[in-house]
Amino acid sequence: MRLSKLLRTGDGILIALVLLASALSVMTVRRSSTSDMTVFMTLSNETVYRLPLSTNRRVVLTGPLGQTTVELDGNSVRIAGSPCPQRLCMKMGRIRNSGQCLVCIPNRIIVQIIGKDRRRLDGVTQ
Amino acid sequence: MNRRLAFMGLLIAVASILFTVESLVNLPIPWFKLGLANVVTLLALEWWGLTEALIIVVLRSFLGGVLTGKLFHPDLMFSLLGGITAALAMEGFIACGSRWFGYVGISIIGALIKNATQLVLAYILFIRHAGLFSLVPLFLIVSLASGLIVGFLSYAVNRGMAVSVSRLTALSEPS
Repeated sequence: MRLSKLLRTGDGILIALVLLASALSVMTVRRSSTSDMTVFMTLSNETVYRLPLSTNRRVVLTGPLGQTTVELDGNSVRIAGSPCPQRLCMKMGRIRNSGQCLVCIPNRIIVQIIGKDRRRLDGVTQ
Repeated sequence: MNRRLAFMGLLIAVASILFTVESLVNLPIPWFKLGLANVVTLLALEWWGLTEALIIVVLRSFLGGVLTGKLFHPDLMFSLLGGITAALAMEGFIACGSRWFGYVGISIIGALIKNATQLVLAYILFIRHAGLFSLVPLFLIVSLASGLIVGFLSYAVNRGMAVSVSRLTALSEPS
């Protein structure tokens, strides 16, 4: 019988170490910095804007139906306003990762984030 | 000798069932196992020794594979290698540090080593992407939690069998 007790001093130290390690690793896990990712906005398939994701700005694109406002807030992109009948593009919400895109088909607008790391996932269901 | 074999068989059966049950739990990382079967490994180490524990690990992986129909599935490889490294690590820590560690500590170490092995295996074999390591904090927490559970369970089983333990350790002598 080599182990006699449930908890000993070493156990407590071990638990503390693991908790510390997990806290540290949460902080040091690197995510792609937002300035590495570029937002491409195309109107009728022509690229009209190319901005880093870290910008803080509203962009107005004028398409066949009217004006679509695209809002960048430093971390994500969303479509803030659009003249399309169903507003599906606005309901998509924010996108933050490379490969994601917002599309307004009636107004012929595509907003896409392209990052420099080639992701394994080419699509994510939401 | 025969009694020891019979008891080992019992433990292998229990471990295989634990393996099967664990397969039902899905974690964000595919093919990961919670490590509940470490209870059996720890008990084997405590009652008999490293050799027996390793035999049990190998056999429970295969038997579990047969039970879950995943005999040639990554599940098996992960469980096998994770279990082996966990057994080795736990034995090492028991042998050297039984003054400082109790059941909980040893099981946490077992869970950590096992999950670390699985993480490395997943990296080498399947997801060669540095992004895999963003799961490290999650795996640390999971190891901690499962280590705690395994520790309590092993302790409880050992205590529960307190009366028969002397007869069990007598099983390690050739009869």
